[in-house]
Amino acid sequence: MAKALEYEVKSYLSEPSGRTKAAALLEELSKRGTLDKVQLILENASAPISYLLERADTDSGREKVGNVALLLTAVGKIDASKVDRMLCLLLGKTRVGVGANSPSYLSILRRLSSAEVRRGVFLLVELLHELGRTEPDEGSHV
Amino acid sequence: MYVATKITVEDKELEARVGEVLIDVLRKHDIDFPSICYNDLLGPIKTCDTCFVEVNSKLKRACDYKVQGLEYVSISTSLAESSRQEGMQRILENHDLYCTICENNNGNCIVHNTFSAMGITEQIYPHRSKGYSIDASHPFYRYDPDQCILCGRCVEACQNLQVNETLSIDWSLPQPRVLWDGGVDAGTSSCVGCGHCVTVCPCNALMEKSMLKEAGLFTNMAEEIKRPLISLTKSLEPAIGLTTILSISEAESKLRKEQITKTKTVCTYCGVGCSFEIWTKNRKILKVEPTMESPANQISTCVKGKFGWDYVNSAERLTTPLIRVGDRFQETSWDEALAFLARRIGEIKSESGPDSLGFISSSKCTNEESFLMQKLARAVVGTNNVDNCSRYCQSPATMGLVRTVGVGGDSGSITDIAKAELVLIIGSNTAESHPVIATRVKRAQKLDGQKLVVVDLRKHEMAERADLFISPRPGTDLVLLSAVAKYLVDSERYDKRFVSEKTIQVQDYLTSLVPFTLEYASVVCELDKEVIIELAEMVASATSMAVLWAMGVTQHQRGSDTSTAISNLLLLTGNYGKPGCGAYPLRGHNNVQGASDFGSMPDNLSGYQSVEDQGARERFENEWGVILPTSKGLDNHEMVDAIYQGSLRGLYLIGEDMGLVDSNASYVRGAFEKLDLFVVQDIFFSSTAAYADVILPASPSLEKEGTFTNTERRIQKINEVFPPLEQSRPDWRIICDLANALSARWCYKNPGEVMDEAARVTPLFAGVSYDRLEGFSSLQWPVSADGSDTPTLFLDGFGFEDKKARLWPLVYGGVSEEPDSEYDLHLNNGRLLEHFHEGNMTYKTQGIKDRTPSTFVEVPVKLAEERGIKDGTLVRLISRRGSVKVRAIVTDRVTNNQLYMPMNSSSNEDAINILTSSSTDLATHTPAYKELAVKLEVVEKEGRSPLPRNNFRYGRRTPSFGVMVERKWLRDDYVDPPARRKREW
Repeated sequence: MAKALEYEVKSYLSEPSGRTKAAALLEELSKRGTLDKVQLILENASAPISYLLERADTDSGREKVGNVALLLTAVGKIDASKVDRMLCLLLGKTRVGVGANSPSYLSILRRLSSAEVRRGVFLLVELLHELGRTEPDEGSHV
Repeated sequence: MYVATKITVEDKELEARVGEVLIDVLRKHDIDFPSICYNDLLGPIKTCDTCFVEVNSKLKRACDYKVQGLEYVSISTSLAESSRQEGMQRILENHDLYCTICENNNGNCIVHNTFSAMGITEQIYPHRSKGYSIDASHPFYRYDPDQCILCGRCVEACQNLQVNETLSIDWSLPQPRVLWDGGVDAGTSSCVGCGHCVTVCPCNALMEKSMLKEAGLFTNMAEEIKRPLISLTKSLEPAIGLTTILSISEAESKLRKEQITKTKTVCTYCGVGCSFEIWTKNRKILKVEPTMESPANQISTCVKGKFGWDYVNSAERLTTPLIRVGDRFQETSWDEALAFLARRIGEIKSESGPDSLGFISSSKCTNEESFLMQKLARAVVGTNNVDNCSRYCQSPATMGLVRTVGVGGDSGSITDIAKAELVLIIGSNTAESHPVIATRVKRAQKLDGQKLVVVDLRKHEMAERADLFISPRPGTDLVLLSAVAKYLVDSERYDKRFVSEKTIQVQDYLTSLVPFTLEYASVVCELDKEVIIELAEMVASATSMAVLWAMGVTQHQRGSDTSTAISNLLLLTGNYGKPGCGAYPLRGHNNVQGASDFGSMPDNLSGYQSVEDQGARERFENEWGVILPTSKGLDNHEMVDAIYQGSLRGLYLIGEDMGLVDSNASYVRGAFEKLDLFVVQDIFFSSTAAYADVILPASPSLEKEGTFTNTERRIQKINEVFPPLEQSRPDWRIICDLANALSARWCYKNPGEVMDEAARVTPLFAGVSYDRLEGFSSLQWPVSADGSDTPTLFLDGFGFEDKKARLWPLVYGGVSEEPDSEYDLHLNNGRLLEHFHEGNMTYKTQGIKDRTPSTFVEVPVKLAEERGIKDGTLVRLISRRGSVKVRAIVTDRVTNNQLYMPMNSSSNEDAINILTSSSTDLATHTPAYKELAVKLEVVEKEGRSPLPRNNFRYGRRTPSFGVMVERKWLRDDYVDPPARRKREW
């Protein structure tokens, strides 16, 4: 006579305890060498962090801190292995392209006849100009 | 019949057919041609303005131009090209291009691909918000008006393909957008969640929520970053050009291929057999994507097939074998579980003989698993006590067809149903139980003038849409059908030639019709004579008729006889063996057809080869190297009785909550208690598993390979989407493991080898092989050795040796139970659209559960008034077997003393089969679920309605004939391309 029995299914999804998860995470980070890198960053991070904190009392400074935070959040959500693969793909292709066929001056000049390319070069020059520009010291304003 | 012609396209002569749509001709000849709103199934919508060509120097939309012959078509004239460019620019004004961070950037975005193919380098009209917020109110998808290009594909699909008639575009609005029920949130509208709109959307305006932030490398970006990034990209666009930006998004799209896996499979719910690709990321299901190649459904799905897959990864899945130890279940290893079973099966067999064991396969499982289950029973254990759960639903339909036409399957294909001039639906709530087939009928009726007659107790959606709806007294369909047949004979309006040339037993049949006069039928069926005549006249005047039936016919004491009456009527009217007609018993589970086809039946080996046929047996004996039992075994129903009698001691049950879905559930559970060995194999712990001695954790369809056979005899392959979860195993593997534990030495490496074996011993499947079922390829049996299949049966005669059909004489003998003075109400029962059976799979999908959280009982308005019942009133329904408590819905879908209760409950409190009886169809032992008398008591007058207000049944449909682009063209701000838009909307 087999009566009906109750049974509570043990979920395969059941969460391990916080401590177990933390230990597993640390072990994984250590295995991958990530912990070493984090240590390196922390050792060298004092200068930029102090720079940002010093400016956190102005509106523009706070905006910069906020932007960095947003940027870090975004970067943190990107799957690093995927980005790595993408970079390999792009760099790999570039190297092959340059090595196999260096363009002649003529072909570069020909490409400059395209409005799109000219716009691109202009943008690049502008960007370089912007990057190379020396910010006047705030204190020097009269 | 098509007339061949030629057209000239850019100086090249192309073959075409008169009446063929020009865009189809161009694509057929591999001419890469842009277009957005045109879809093979939806036809021309004419909203996108991206497919202009010049035909004989006149500007035409290629999607809307039908070839007449000898035209000269120019694609690359400046007029055509600038018109297309203007059309695309207008689309981009409505659609923000942020492809790299868009979930739809998967290589199949039609807007992206068209825009890219057109080589547009500059956006003339900047994107502009329509001023509406995103509608995320529906549980399964969201609508973003600012991404919507107003192509109207979704509207066309909703209005004219699914024919749910929820979506529309109001072109009179200052800023048109897609509307649900004319302007309510999608989540509170009449939307049934079929997903057609999302599937056909050419961009990301309508998107499965399961895709959001999941598909793509950068889509999980926080909104506060996403928006500035889009703005930054836009600001760079004039400088670096659109082409560069598109290249980046295309690169990202390609990188997704590593992230997203697409696997073709077949739906595991009803018997329509919808196939599609499932997109997954690790174990997450991103979406279900049907395609035009899907043979049964093309781009159609229902809410279960499109969105109801959460059960696969449910935390409630069984993942370890369990064994009963005292008063608890204990986890055990596979080795221990199998060793225990082998020992116990061996002991019972040696003590009481092989026939003391029974095997029940599942119509949820694959053909290969059905084949192995019967092989285990017959070749390893030595008994024909093997059956499957189609016994609970469709065996009477098969019996009716085998008696009359010799083959127990749909006589044609779903396309034939759509082509029929008249469709007669009897005892089938098609729109809810076989939703995709219903779409084909609704579409044919709405667009092609197909006539629809519905015979049913309940005014369900198909009944509401019918040209004629007849509601006879319960259990009297046979009388109605026979009266129609007699009327046709008496008025000499039947197909005499067909009857005389292709049928036998004619005189006996005609004699049997004598009692079925209009007067008799009118009294028995409680119908006006005029209604019966109207039906008969419609049948007589139709040049082709398809009859669809389901459990409203079969689950009666005379279900086989009524099925026979249907087939008789089809024979009498010559509606077999030609396109657009025939018999369509709509199979309930995904593999009801295949479970029986592949031999899990007590009387038949695979391919309906009788166990009593020595020749057939020898074929199997030679293949398997054993001597097989020679007489019919026990079916499901008989097994339960045999347990009570003590002759059946062990039962191996796969994939069925038998203690809940078999009728008179308490009686069935009582039988389980008496078993010496009860093995339950399932993906969840069920009310049946509670009685088991051993529970084996199985894998659902997404975790295995195999084939299913749908209602139209179509064999389709399923592929492994995920590996089996934890320790669960595919059923075929478990059956093999058990067989080998019983010393069988089976060594199948994969289900393909099982199919090869089945094909070798089964003439019906001689040419079936996995090679022929690759991708979306399918085969409709019978399949010859050369692989040719049979979409339409009986083209060269019926399934008997003499090729003649049998007109089968019938008598009417009443029902097993009907209302009386004490049990005064008739309780009908069946499925709901959003749940499958007791709901053990569908309740795992939160979006379904939230909107349909429980079963209920439908009470007619007048009866509700008399008894003081309102929506939410808790009532007790009492039958001669038991009682349930359930909340009421007051509705005009039921009338008189009729109640209706959906079967989606797995609780003893409100499961329908606590009430049903053990009466069965006399010929097949299918339970007479539909013959049920109850009395009703009010328990609590006030209560919450069991149907939340966001259930689609409260919505108000807005029928129209599609997008109605002409209204767009009449707007002040519309001007024919290539002219630039006059002014902004």
